Amino acid sequence: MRLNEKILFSLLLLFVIIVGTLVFSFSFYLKGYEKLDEKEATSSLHNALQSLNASREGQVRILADWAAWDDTYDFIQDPDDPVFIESNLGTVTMENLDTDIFVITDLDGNIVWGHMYDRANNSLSPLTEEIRSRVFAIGRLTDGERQNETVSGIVMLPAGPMVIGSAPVTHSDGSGPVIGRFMIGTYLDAAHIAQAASVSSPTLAFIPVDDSRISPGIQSALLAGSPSALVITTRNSTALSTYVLIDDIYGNPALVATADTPREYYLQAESTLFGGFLILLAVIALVGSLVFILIDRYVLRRLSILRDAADEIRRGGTLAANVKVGGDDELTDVAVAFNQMIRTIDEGQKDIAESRQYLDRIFSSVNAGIVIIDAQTHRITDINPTAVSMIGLLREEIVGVSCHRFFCPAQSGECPVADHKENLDNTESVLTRPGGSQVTVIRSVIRLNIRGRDCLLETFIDHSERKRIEHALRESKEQFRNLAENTADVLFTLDRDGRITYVSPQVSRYGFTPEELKGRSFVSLVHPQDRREIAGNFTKEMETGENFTSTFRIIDRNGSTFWVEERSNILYDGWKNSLGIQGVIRDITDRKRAEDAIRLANRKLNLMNDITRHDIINTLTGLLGTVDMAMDPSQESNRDLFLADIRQLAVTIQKQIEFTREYQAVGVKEPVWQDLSRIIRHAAELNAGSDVAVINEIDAFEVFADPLLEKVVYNLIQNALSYGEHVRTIRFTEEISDRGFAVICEDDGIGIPDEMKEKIFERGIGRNTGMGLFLSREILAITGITIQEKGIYGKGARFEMILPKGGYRFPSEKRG
Amino acid sequence: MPNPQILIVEDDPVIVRVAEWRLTKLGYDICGKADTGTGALDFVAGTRPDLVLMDINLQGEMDGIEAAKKIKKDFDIPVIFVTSHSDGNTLHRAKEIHPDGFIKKPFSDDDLRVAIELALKK
Repeated sequence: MRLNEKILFSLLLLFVIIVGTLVFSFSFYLKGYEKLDEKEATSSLHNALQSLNASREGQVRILADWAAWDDTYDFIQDPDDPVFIESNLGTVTMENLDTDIFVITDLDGNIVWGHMYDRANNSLSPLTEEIRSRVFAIGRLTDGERQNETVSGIVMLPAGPMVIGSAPVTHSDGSGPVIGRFMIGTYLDAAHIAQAASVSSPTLAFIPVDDSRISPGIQSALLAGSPSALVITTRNSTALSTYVLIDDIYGNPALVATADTPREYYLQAESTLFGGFLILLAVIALVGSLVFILIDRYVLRRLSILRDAADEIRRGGTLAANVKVGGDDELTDVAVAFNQMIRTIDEGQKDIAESRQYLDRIFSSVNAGIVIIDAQTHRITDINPTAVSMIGLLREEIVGVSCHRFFCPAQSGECPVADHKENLDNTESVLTRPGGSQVTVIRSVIRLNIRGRDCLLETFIDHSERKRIEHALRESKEQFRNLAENTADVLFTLDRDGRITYVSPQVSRYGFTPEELKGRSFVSLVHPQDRREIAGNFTKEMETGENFTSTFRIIDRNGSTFWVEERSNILYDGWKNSLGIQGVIRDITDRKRAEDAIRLANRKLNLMNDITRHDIINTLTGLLGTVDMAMDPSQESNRDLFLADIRQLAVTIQKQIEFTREYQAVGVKEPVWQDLSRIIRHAAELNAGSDVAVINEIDAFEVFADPLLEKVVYNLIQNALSYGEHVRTIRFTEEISDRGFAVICEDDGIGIPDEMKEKIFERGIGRNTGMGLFLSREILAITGITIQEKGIYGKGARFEMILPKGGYRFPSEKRG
Repeated sequence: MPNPQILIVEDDPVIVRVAEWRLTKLGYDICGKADTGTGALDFVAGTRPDLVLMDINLQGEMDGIEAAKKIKKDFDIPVIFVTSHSDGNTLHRAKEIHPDGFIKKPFSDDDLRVAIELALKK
């Protein structure tokens, strides 16, 4: 539908809505006026009824006047009173009272006086039986307690409805007793109805309730609403009919008062509204036409200009041309916006063209193969030069060919993307080249819609070189892993904060697992005395990139100290950012101990050289002096004695020199780990000829000591044999106490006196050379082992050798 | 003029015997012999020798240097050290008390005579 048709349709629709609304409103208003008419009709009928009531009330006043009268009272007692009859019961009275019957009864209902008045003939006639029966019935209404009441109402008689009243007869002052009743009745004849109609409606009528002139519907409605039920009906377009139900004196529905009332308000309002409606319709039609003309002139025609301009551009006009619609309103703004939009589209097209060139360049120059495949036919529709080069055919030989020839050839009809709706994302695959050679590629395939066709965009890169590098990297990693796990050294890496990020499994020799050390501070493993230096080295290394070789101590899980040598360098990422440190830790504990032992041995050797030289010089001084004394002629008698002394002194010098030979062996060789149990067994074998039992209860463990350790064991056994006097058993055991791990050598001989327990370790003390225990203590001291005699004199000697921490190990603890 | 009285302090009996023989031969009187520093001090306090011939390396709580220091300080008696030690530390300690002479073992008659005469003339 065109815009002008839409506007016209909208205006018509608006017109219909307005008309509908007006009709509805008018109907609503007319209802109000109809109510006014109904109110008027009701009021009119009520006026008639009030007029009727007024007549009845007048009748009641007459009743009261006549009934409460001594003359009437007396008349009942003397019905034959001619004066009363003459004066009061003639036709004149009936005429004046406007009554049709006149009845006086006693209390038993017997009629004392009763006549009917014939208005036409102005005469009295006797009461008909019908009247008599009704009079009697009315008298019954006031029996007993209602004796003093005055009753009034309508009675339906064959001659028509009659308004009848009855009052008790008393004295004039109202005193009783009541001796009878006074009744009068007046027919509701045409004259009376006309009188009532004069104050209501000319059409006023009183109709018996069961009269056929009243429709059954109205009759039912009246009886349903009794008493005084009111029903209003529309008689015709110009009048309303109103009905009111009137009960008789007995309270039964008897009479319907009805009147027709003209619909004055309704008709007047209808006429007025209709006139206004026509005027309004005319105005609406005029305004609607005017609006349509204005819209057509100021909107539709200018929109047509815009449409024509757009058509012109669509038909190939230049985008740069501007549309001119004139004016300065919203449509002008639309034209400006339209022009701007056209310019934007123009610029956009240029951008698209540039983007297309850009994408073409990328498509042509990217170092990844790109192939566009029709998802339905699986035929290649486009391919970039890199893909052409990787496949090894001409572009013309590839485009239009099924992709299965080059990709997943064994899966024709089973394409994971096109047929099985799967995704391929960086999946390793094989590109089959002409001749059957294959290239490993990394493929990604996505679905996309190109110009309404479902296509696959397949990109791939040559993965051969990367595969080769990965293989080399795997091999390199394997080599590194083998190297790391098989070398005696511990390899590690630290992050920038000095936390361990990797440590090789060799760290288990210190009681740790690589997993538990990950994330732990490296410095926390360092001996407290060395931490500051190592932390400083770490910081300096991170700041300067300088490589460090550090020697320090670490603490193992058991608290033992080990010397290590660390070589490390900065670990960089691909952008030369330092990631942390990688390094190697070599355990130099044995070397360190050996160095310490050699240093100590040298010191001891120098000291021993001094002591021995001193001893030899002393002995030589005595020897030379004794020679001089022997040569002194005055001492000739003592010469043999001097010569013996000289020999003894020479022997002493010989022993001193021999001791130097033994002692100089101490510390000459580096300390080594030695199986103590095996050494004891060997030393015991050297003394196999004796009766003394050497019991070896030492477990299998190793002691780090000077290679002369065997001489120590041998000396202990020899001392027990030489000086123990009655030794039968020499026992070697091990003992752990608060002083540490000790090796015990005890015998059951005489033992060592308390004052000699320390002297026996001094040089020259003893019955032989006095060097055995001195040398033993010196040999053990090389690696920090102490020896003391702790036996009880008389029960045997007990030598306790305390081994330093780290100076012994069990087979499972052997390192590197 | 009576012969100078000399105390020999030495823990090696052979050297004591040789020293006593040599000193007697050189004309000196041996007023006493001691083998410890403490014994030497006790003897000096009672006898007041003219010179003490003191071995540096004595066994016991007090070595020859310590004993010589007390003798010189308390009794102002010349002391000559007799020693086979030549290590720097011992010589340094010995020099600190300004001894009246040094005799290195093994010694001859002349070594003894020169050292004693020089000490007695100070």
